[in-house]
Amino acid sequence: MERLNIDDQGVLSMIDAVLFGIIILLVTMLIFQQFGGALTRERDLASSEFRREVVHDIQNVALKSTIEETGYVNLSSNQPEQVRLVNVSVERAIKDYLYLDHISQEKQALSYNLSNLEEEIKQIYERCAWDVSQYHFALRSSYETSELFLSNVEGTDTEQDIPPGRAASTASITLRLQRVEVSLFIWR
Amino acid sequence: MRAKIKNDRKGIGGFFFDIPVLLVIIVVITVFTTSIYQVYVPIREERKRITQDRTCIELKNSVQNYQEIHAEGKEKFSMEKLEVLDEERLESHLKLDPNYDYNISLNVLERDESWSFGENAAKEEISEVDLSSYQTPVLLVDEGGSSHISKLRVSVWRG
Repeated sequence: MERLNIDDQGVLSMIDAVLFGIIILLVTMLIFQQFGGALTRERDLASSEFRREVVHDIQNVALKSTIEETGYVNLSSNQPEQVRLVNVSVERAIKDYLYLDHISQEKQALSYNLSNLEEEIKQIYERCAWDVSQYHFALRSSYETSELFLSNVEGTDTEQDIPPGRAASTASITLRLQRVEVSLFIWR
Repeated sequence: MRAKIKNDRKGIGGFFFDIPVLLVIIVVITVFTTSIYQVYVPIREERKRITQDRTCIELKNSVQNYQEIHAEGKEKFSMEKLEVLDEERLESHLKLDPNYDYNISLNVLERDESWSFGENAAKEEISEVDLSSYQTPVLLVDEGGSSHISKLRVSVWRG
């Protein structure tokens, strides 16, 4: 009687091929993950560089822009007095706002309505950030007891309301020998 | 010896056993090559895009640093100087990679005044998708010395 040998070489080759396939697929997934991650990081870096450049430009131009005519109302005396400011830079307008707001809080006898000044500063930033570059913005600056916070988005009243994906630029100005920071945040 | 020859079917059966194995290997190699190609093409395109975006920012910085159009300071450009700007001199200052074409435009927001230098992307039928463009505010100073907020747009695309 002849013994029949079972030749299992074909099955073994099949197992080898499937193993090869699994290894190749794992390598492919690894390559996908590595390159995808690297690409996302590179794209994020490029877009943050882009926004950093934009926010820096907006801040520089806005601070150097000129407000043709603005002013505030001095409510300290019985007769409200309208104070006109002609051809003032935004930087100067911010300083005036912060200083007048601070002294009106310090001295009970002094009172000012600064809404016009605040509105003009906001309009300049809106033109630079929104009209030109299509970015929402928020501006924050403080001096002693006063704080200026402006935004073109309703409901954005404090720094905590600004979305996390924002870009920021801080410029330093000097007010009565004190360094004051003006921070601009932009986002889409 | 005779029995061995009789039972050995490797010459015929072995080949047929290998067909599914070969098919699996061919499918795996095809999937692998296609996947790598599918990943490589977008990566190459994205890299090109990132390089183009960076070129656009560099070009914007070159324009901002071009003293021939400055009125005072880096952020202020003179309208008078823009009127008489020599485009060839501007181009030699920009030192742009010859693989790229560019357009620089300046528009005064509250006035109907604009300047444009370089190629015209719209005329060359370049879609917005292929363009890298950067828009930033600048100050343009008029003859009277008043400054106006204006839009500087720098666009770059592969020529």
